[in-house]
Amino acid sequence: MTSVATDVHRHEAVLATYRARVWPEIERRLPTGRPARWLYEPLADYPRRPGKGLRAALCMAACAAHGGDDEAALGAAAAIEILHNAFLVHDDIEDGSQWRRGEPTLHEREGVPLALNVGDALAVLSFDVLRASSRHLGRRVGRLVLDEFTTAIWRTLEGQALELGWRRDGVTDLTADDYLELVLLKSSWYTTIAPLRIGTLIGSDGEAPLRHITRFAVLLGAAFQLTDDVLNLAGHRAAYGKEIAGDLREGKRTLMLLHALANADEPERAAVVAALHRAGAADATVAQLADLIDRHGSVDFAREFARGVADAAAAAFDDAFADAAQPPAAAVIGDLVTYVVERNR
Amino acid sequence: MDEEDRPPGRSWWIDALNPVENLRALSDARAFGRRAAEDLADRMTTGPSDGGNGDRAEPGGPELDALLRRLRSDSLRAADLWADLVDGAAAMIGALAGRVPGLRDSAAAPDDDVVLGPVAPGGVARRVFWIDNPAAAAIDDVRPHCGPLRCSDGTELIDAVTFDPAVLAPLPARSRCGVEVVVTIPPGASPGRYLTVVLVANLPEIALPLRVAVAVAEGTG
Repeated sequence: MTSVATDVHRHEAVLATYRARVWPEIERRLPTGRPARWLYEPLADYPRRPGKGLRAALCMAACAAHGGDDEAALGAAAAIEILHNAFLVHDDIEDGSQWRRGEPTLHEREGVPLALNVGDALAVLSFDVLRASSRHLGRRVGRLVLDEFTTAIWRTLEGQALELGWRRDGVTDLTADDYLELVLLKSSWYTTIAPLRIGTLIGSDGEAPLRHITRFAVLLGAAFQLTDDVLNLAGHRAAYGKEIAGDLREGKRTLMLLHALANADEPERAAVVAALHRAGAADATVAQLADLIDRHGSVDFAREFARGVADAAAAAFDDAFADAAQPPAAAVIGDLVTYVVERNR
Repeated sequence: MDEEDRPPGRSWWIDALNPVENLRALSDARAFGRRAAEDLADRMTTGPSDGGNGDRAEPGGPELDALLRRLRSDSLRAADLWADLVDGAAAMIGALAGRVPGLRDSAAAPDDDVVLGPVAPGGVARRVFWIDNPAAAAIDDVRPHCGPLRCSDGTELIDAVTFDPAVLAPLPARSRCGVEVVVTIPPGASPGRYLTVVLVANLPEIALPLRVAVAVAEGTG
């Protein structure tokens, strides 16, 4: 039996092999030109910071699992990773984040106006890469892949709008169902659903049924985001790469916060709700929220909750890949269920 | 409260976030997590209860149903991929930059005119057009229809046009559905350019010209 830490390292090694294959494709597609200093150089900044590569791995492994040559999904995987970076640039601005993958965020380095422009450029680049790769897929599958890509973008934008709207308008009367719906929209669609569906479409030439794949992807994505929220509060910055407790400072409505609020006494709750109505929480407020979450065991609750979601994902995996043409490739995806909840970054 | 003790329809989080219930062991949090996530996945990938007899409706909740319909149409269509890629890119840029106010604001956004042919008499032509519902609410009974195809000399092709699916009931919220228009040219049809307009019940904004060129029959002319 291996330890959890060993398993995490093993899974990260697997992800690294996919990242090593996708990265040259991304690098090859990064445009150069003028103005280099204000556009093309910062455009390469986030893609060159090593991320987990989870999305690319899911896309390529799903393609292989359904009998395709995973090289066929390389372009789509690269496009998804580039789109992810586009979202990150804008997300960091919207959240006022200072750190990303262990370095200052792009807007901290370049200023908000230039960073916004770079985010736009990365989004366009993702479509360029997808368009180029679609030429090899045939018109029908190419169109299906494009539909998946744009659908994921719309859902992500909707989720982001929901979260930003809750914060701007001081919405606190939320249930955990609301939180899960938010997770589905803002994170799962482009982190797990689109990569798995696109990989499956490419691998099966558009023929494989997607229902069970989608169900698995929803669960995997929820487990991933729940863990991300936990790491934001309880992770180590060196490994996590972002500022710890940034979500509290930004007033994000995480499951931990909802859990703590539900368990707070009335005066405590009233004070926290009032604080959440104010944009940009002060240090004292962050400390108050952290204390509340700590006293009510909300981090442990969320961590265990995420493991339960992962249990559901593991159970859904068998149906999703029951007809996999290449079980070893499917097993790569199955192994990632454990990884998404046990990772430390 | 154990899972099996929860009354039907009672949401998991009422118990999970209940201060009294929360005194329980953390292992329950894991069970809550599993249950909650499965509920979420069920909402997305299966239909709602049929309303009380205990049976579940056929799988095919709004999101998935829209996807499945679209895939069915996709298997037959031959639309212009590259033009749509450009459209998609423009939409993406606009959405991210906030520079295209009103994009997808309308209840439906038809593609360009549907142009088919030339088709020889006795032949069949097909093409997919798109109906969008960017709104948060589903639209019931979305039904495309059109009058006869008519030529400039007044010749009409009656009942030459059909739609697949014939009705979207409903068109789910925040979804886009492909509808295939199928034109069957009668064997004795006169060559020429025929025109009609596709309208869609419950989406009055849509008026989509449908143009069909009928070729000279083989072995004539």
